Amino acid sequence: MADFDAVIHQPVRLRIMASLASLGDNEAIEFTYLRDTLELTDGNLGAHLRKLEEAGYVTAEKTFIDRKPKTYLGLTGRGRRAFGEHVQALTDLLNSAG
Amino acid sequence: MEPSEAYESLEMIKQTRQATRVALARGGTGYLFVIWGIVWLFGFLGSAVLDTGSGYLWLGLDAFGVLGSTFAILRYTRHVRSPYGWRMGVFWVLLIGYGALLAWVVWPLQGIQYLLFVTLIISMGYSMLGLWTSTPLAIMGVAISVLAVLGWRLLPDYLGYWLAFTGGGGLIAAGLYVLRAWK
Repeated sequence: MADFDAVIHQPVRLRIMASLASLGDNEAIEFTYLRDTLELTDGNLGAHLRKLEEAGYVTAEKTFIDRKPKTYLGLTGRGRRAFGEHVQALTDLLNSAG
Repeated sequence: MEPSEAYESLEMIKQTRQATRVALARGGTGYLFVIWGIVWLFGFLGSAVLDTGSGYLWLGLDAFGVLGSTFAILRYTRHVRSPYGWRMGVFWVLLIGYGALLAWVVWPLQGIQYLLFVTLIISMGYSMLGLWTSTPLAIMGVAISVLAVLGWRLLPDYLGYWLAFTGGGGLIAAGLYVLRAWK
């Protein structure tokens, strides 16, 4: 059976990972767009993204568009695998309960 | 962890993924379907109704389609970066270029053959691109192709009207569906 991931399991981080997992490989979503989609504040999203970056699950690329700073977020391969394993662990637990 | 917690987590994942896909669809496929659905609806209706001048109508509508698509894509790419973005643009340029070459090789095309030829080239593009980027796009491409051929065989005298409502109307309906709920 797959293992639960303590970093991903926190509810806000779980939603962040689920949202980023909806993107294709090598695709990235802009910070404010992710914030609005998940209905989070800048601070809340930023704090959880730092945890996910420290775990190596999320990449953050900073750039400038029309002279405004933008940050694009995407899952790493490691993050995609970790999320998949966490979802599998949840599914296994549910299935074993009958 | 209790099974009820696992269930809630999985539901949260499902809802979040759906919300993200809907948010992305609003900026992507959905608007493009609606824009080109409008082009096809009025273009094919014009071809069916007008004795002359439909070529100018198509030119104007295609300009609207290109401008509208450009605006929608630029708006979308501000939110999502994809390594495939520029390749999609090149894909359409190549497809239209090869379509023009094929038309030149098989020319002359009779009135309804020309309508069908353009429809099949574009719907082939939707089908092929959809294989990699968007399942609804691939399904729309195949559906439009099948409906176009059926209209050609069964209703040749009314093909323009048929393509207007099945192709144009179909694209608009698909776009509205994608914009409202991506499941």
